[in-house]
Amino acid sequence: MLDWILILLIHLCFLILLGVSFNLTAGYLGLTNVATAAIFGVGANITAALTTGGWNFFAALPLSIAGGACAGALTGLPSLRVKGLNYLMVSIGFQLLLHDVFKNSSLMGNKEGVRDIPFPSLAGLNFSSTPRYFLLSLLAVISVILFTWRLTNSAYGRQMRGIRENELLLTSLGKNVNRVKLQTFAIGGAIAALGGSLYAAHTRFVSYESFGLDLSIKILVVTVMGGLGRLLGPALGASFAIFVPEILRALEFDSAEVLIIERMLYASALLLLLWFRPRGLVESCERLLGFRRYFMTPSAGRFDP
Amino acid sequence: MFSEFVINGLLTGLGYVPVACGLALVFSVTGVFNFSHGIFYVMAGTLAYLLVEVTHFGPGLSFLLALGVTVFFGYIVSACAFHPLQKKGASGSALMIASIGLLILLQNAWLLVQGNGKLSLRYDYLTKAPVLANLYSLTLSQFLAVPVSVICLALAVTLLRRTDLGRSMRAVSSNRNLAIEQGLDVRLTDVIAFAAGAGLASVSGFLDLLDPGVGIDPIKTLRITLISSVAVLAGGRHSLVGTALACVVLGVVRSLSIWLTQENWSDAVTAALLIVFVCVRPAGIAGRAAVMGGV
Repeated sequence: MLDWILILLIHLCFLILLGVSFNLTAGYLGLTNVATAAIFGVGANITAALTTGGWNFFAALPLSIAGGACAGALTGLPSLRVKGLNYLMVSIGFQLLLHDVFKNSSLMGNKEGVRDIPFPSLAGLNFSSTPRYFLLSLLAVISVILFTWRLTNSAYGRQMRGIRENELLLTSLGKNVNRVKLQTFAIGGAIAALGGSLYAAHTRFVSYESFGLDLSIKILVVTVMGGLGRLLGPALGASFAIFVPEILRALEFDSAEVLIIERMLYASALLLLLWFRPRGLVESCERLLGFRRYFMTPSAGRFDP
Repeated sequence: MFSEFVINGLLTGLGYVPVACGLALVFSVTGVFNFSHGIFYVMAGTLAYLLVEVTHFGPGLSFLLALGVTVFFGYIVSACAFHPLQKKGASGSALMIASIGLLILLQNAWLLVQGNGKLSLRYDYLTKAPVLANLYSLTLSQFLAVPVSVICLALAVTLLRRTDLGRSMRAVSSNRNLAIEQGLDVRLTDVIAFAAGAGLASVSGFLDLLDPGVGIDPIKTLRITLISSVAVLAGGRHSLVGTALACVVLGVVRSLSIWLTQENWSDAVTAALLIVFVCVRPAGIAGRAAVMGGV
């Protein structure tokens, strides 16, 4: 029972990392980027390739993060030229391109996927038990959230929000908009790749099927539900989402059906959000109950870039 | 070998022309970049297959019925899914995200109901490969691709250029707000564009259903959408003829990428082309001057 809860929480950690990564670009920069799942896959595949090749997990982790940051910056490169609908299309292109690379290239997994990824261990300390792995993931999540808290509440974070609100004004104030964009994309990519790296070592099996467009949509739904452009938005949204597969399993669907129904639920949630609550569930609840905003976010993002 | 790949690519590309023109029509008139467009293709193909195999209607009647149902479904999608958003003034990216949600919802619903697997109709007179000048063996579906895609394109262009409805659609396409101010019924043009788009997509679906080597598979929804998207973006977003040309070129490029790499990298190449076209040449091969219905 405890193990079951901990595994659930570990998956929650992965989802939070992905949500934070998505939130940095979509919430703060205002560029809806649906390639997050692909960058997650980059991190997972680099870790899988290196650790099955005999590397220690903690040696592979920085390389995966660096790879994710590079991939993130690459997906951010077109944002210097295009935005809005056009950028959304570009990010879909990146998502599908990388997904196909995972599927076909022997370097980054292949159709069969990579099996038997070793558990992380460092200086005699083994992370094969669930509680220890949970602590490791929790550490990652807490450090990432603290980092984004510092980042978004600094002058740099104001520049990020400035790009969302009025890019031209920011340029005319002499700020280097392009640098901020690329750096934010790289940071987002690094966070997603960190999640992917931890994911690979936890499930011990990576396959291209886990990094499809539907995961990106799941991340988008989770973040928008929690509140786009808020520090704890992804964490809140992810905590709702983590129970969905468990409820479906309790309703005695088999595992293939659970996957399909979960995707359908997220897609319907997305449509319902767009139709009725484009500002997310949490903000609606706050307004209904008359709460102040639950964490310091000067102005929340809009789901309508 | 090389020429065989080129000809195959050319004919496959021609087979994509109707579905891509449907997407171009929808995007240009309604402003929705409908990423769930492939659903119409799969839906029409599957319905036609079921009608032929289960209810034993003749192919002609089955295709007509499937076309009718898909066109009606296009109307439903426009009226129920996108109209509420357009009424609220949603941006292009919000509309596109809604269409991605719709794609994932419908594709998985299809997988749940019908399951995975390729459907294709097998007739004796279809599988016997006719031979062109004793050099290339082509299926009947490939032969049909040429006249069918030309007729579809001609019909769509005629609708836009020769009818009053088409004139309203062109007006909405060139300036939506002005068209609303002028009292044009935008909702009508939206619905017609979606219905016509669905109808055009189903024609491609029928062509592939008739080809045992290709067939209809729910898994292909995203691929068909991707191919049509690239064709629309490369063809200049508002030009049907440009889209059709881009389709043919894309078919050849995809085929040659298989010839060059011996592996199936064609989807990756298509996705890369999407990125390149949006970043480098957003106006497509037709250029900025392209307007809806123009040639």
